[in-house]
Amino acid sequence: MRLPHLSHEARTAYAFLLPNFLGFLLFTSLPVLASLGLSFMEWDILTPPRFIGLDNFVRLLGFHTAQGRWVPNDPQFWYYVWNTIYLLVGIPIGIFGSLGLAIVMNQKIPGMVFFRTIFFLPTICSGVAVFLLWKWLYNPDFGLINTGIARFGDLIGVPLKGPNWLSSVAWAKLALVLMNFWIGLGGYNAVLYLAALQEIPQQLYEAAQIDGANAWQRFWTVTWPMISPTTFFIAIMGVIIGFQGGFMAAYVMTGGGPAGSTTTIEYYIYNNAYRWFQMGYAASIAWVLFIVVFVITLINWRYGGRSVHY
Amino acid sequence: MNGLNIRMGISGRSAGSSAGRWAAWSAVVVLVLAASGCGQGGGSSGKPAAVKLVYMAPGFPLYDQVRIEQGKRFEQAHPGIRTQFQAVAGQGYREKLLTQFAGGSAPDVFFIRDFDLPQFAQKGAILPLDPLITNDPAFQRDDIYPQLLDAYTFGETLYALPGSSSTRVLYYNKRLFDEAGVAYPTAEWTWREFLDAAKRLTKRDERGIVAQYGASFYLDSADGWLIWILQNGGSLFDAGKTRCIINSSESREAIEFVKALSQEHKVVPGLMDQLNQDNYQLFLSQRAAMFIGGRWYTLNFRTASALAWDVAPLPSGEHRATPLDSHGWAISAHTKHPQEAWELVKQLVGPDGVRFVIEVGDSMPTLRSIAQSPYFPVDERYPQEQHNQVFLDAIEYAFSPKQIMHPQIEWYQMSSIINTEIDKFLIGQLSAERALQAVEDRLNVLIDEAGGA
Repeated sequence: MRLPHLSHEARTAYAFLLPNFLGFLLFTSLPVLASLGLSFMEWDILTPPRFIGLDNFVRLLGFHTAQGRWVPNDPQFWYYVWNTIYLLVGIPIGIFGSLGLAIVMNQKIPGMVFFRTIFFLPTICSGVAVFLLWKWLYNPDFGLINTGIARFGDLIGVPLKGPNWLSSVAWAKLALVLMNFWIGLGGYNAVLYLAALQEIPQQLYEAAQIDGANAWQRFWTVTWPMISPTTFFIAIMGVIIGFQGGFMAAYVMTGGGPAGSTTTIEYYIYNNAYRWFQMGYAASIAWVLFIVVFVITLINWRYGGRSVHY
Repeated sequence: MNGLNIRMGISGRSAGSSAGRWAAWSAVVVLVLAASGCGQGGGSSGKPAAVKLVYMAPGFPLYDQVRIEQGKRFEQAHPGIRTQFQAVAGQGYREKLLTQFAGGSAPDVFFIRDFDLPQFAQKGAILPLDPLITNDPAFQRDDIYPQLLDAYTFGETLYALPGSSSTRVLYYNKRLFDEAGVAYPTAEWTWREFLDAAKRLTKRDERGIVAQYGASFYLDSADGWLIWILQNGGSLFDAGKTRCIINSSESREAIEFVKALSQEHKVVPGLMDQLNQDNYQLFLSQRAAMFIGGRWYTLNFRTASALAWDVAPLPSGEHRATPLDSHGWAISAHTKHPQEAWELVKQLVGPDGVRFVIEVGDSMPTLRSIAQSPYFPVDERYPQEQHNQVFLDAIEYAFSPKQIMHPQIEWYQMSSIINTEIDKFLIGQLSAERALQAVEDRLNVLIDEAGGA
């Protein structure tokens, strides 16, 4: 077989790409394929894996009857799926937050570069440090948030008491959504929006202004459609990342509790893999997660893409 | 492998002068790969290969120094053996160890938590120590506390030796007791005295928000719950460990009592999950008057110069019970040098190491010869620690992980089930009866699965 002749430049380019390419093959695609194999096996890491066919998937996704009712073989898994989806409600809130912040940061206000840095800071901070900080903020008795709520209550003469943020099933997930909002607000999404906003030609605004559009109309008819590719990208990435998220917050802050209410699919994978010696089962969960994310992304492309104006 | 094939393919089809350039590139790539990952082997050049032992433990600057020092002393005493210490910083120690086993590069000697030992031992990852001990008449096995040896014995086989250990006791803040006019805890305390004192030591502001807790303790893993359950006469498994029998009136009473401490009397902070990670800090910052913990907290409490504390045995229920926690040193079943590794283990668990972990306030003695010396009970550098004997005395009624675990069930999985279901009881979703029944059902399923496998 003859390959098309490559120019000198192309060959140099491939040579530079080679290390990355090799790294991807060795450290990403091989493990990914291996995990596909493992998902059909039972493996406790310490002894050799044993092929068990589809047993892992049956245990994960199957149902059986008990006392005349259909019961999932692994009810915990479905609860963790629900938790993961619940945490996704943070995505649209985060998108609008980041957009709002980007619009503010796009104004010509003195010192804005400084504030852009400040807002970006949580993104580059170590996750563990940020999560520990929020754990202290959420401390029900001595944390800043509940102390603040109590002080505010004093001011208005009503005895207010903040919730048990992380140790109540009702509040724990919401507390994580709130925290993720804070972390992501000024992060990559805001930077992407900022770039998108600066790409919008000024003539469009001028034309809209001449047509008599007010600020609100200018936003919905010029800004919003012009940045729709960015919004689409952020939303898709948000869903992809969101489905695979939740490990670190659970690991550092809540241990996945109370009563499993902050355990996500990702944290369940970790527990199975590294805590409970069930690497094969963990691999099967990971592959189910991959397929779910893949299908949802396809749907997003198919239907979400329609609202994008290029 | 893949990378190599690609490289060969490409350079094979290049011609002329560019072939040299490709060869150069390939050489660079091979060198980089060799330097980054594959450089572990070797040792063939120069003089006859010295035996090299790798030993690994969770990293912590204070301990790392001592472990490296122990390795140096070992090298001096054993010419021809080189040692390399790997400290794994952060919390990823267990993951790293498992990954190394999976990849066939496990360290020769490694630190292992007592809870992990049954799985590692049963899956053949750890070398049994008995043959090595039999061949080593000089080794004083009987100097190690029998309870600790038992904790590391599965079947009739010993799998590790203890490096550090502690029972859990009741730490109390003397100043807060004095201020409240409450008498210090004694060995005679029962749950009732504990609750009475905790009530009198709890301070609330005018809104009812707690400013100082009577006590704080951890319930983030099953052993914390089992203190109360076993003290009240309950049990997790039957004697033959064929069934989980946690749903007894004794267990229910125990978890009701603990729930009431935090929710009815409000004398201990909320008890859910790992939020309790902060609980020792409540004691450290004098916002909790009592704390249940092992001697390793002494290391932290010494840093608070204003804190005047002492220790007493845990209050008792119908029975006495307290966990016996420990870390051991084990030898990988895959080591090429079992005899040398055994010598290193002896060094690591020997008197220097034991003295060190005692001295820094991390452990109680694992060796009886050191426990009986005046070294541990009173260290004049730490005058307020007059009652270290309390830790040792509790060993008589302490339970090791081995005693509470089921040999076929992984500890964290069992612990996670117990916590999740009891959480549901704490937040009012389930009654004590139904929560413990759920624990029973789920653990019995695991026992059945393990039996059927």
